[in-house]
Amino acid sequence: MAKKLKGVVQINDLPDSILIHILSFLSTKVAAQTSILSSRWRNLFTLVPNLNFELVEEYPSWWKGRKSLNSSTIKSFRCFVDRVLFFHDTIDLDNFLLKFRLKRGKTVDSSSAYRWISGALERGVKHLDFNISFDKFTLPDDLFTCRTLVTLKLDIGLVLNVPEDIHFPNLKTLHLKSVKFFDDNSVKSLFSDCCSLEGVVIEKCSFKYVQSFSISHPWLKSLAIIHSCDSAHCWLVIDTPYLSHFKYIGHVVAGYSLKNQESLVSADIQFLFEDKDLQADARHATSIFRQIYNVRSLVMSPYSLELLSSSEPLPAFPTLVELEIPYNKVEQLNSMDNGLEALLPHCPELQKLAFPQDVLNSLSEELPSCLICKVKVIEISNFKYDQDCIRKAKFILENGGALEKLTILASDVWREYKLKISQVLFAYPRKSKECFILIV
Amino acid sequence: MASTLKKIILKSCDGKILEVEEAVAVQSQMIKNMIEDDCANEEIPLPDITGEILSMIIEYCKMHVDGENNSNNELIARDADFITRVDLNTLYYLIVAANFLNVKSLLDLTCQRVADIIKGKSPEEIRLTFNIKNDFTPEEEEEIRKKNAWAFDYKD
Repeated sequence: MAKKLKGVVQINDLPDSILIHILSFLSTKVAAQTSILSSRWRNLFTLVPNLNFELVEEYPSWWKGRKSLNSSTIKSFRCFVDRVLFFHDTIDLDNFLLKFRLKRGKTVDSSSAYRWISGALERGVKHLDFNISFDKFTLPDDLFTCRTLVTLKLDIGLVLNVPEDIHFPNLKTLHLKSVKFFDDNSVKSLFSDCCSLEGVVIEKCSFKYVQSFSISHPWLKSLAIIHSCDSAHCWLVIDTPYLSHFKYIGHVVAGYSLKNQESLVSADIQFLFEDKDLQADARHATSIFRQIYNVRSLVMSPYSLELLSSSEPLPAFPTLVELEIPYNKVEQLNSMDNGLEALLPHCPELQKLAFPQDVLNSLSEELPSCLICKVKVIEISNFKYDQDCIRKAKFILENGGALEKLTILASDVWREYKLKISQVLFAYPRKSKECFILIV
Repeated sequence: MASTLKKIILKSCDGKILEVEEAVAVQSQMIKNMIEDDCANEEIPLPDITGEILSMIIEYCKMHVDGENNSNNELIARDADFITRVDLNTLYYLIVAANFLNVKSLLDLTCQRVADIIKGKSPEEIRLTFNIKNDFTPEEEEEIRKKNAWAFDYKD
């Protein structure tokens, strides 16, 4: 095809800019391997604006076919990073990733790591991803005043002492993983001068030295606090008038104060069960739910539902349209006094509902109005072939006046029993003529 | 309703004329700029882009306009389906055309495809696949290997 055309019949006919763009989709290591192809390719990889250096030792040393990393490998890695950065002197960096995960006792020296991060900052890096294991390390001060940074991801397992005079004018996304916060002020300063910030993820971080974890930001849109450690004593204080997505996965902490949550559209609140004081947990948990009453979409763990439904009075969700309770095989469901049936009357606008069958406890005579005239889509997971489950499905079919689709997820059920479930349900009278049933 | 939509007329280098809806054509930043500058009222000649390549690009752009409401995963699956049907030679032409027309997502998709083909191959296999002539002497080759030893000596 197109043989008449002058020009591109092989890869070497493409201009340098395009070859560099191709190399930018490869790891720096693989890109460097192309330097040996021909003289045209020799230095191309040093012009790629994305650099990533990874030194990871995950396999045990007896693993065949894999060299264990010894000091000469580490030295070779160090020379390589230095050399590539040297060649990169004049180019603006878009992405810089530095990762080393080595076994105990082995490490890249911290002065090299410090030099490389400084080097990336000097080259105007926009997206910095820094994932290292050091027992002791101090981040360069320049990091906290970097004008070019748009994304910062730190996975460092260290105490993060944030200086007071931070300045991230362009930072949009901040992702901290396995970081230990130094103290309350450190947390406050972190969010004090980043006017472009839109998304924050705090993952597996330790709150051991923090009494009050406080995030106050005028423009923040999305916040996720996931699997925090040593947080039971800590208060979570959030004041974010622009926040539209909030995610919290973890144990219940000592207290929650959420202010200015009027913009919130979706929330994902998955409290994890801990053998503690259920009533205290319920009190704290409910205070979150009262602050996020105006969401459209809500995801909650079965334990969140348990805490919520045992609170008096139950908070109302006047604008809630979608409610999802994910099914988690690992998590054992407690036997709740009140289940989903207690919450539904407080969600008058609900249209879409997904839940594991265990959280629906009793089928009361008093029907929630949303089920009669609003709910269009229902998905029931962890469905079993027993009378109890079938009774629940029947209850929904005979009362769901607006129901368009009922999905039954019965992944653990044998095929022949699935057929029996479908025979029973397909034959059962439905309140909604439009209702479509799917059993998978 | 379809007839009232504004059409952009594109002419390939081998004389093929294609009428494209504006919403599809503006996937190309270059054509978008021309429309904004009011330079797209007559047919737009595209040197170096054949009718065959142009049709493929329009197919791709249309797929993205039609799929705007689809989930991200669906679009990724369609992209993958589109790109794996393309042979290496056509891929080069697509890259050049996507670059000229400034269709960023297609340029990324095609360059990513070349990168994926490079991945996992030895230098000799890469040379064979892409028809690259090795113009180094063995001594030069050895020197480059030494300088970037970490990239060559330690396999992932």
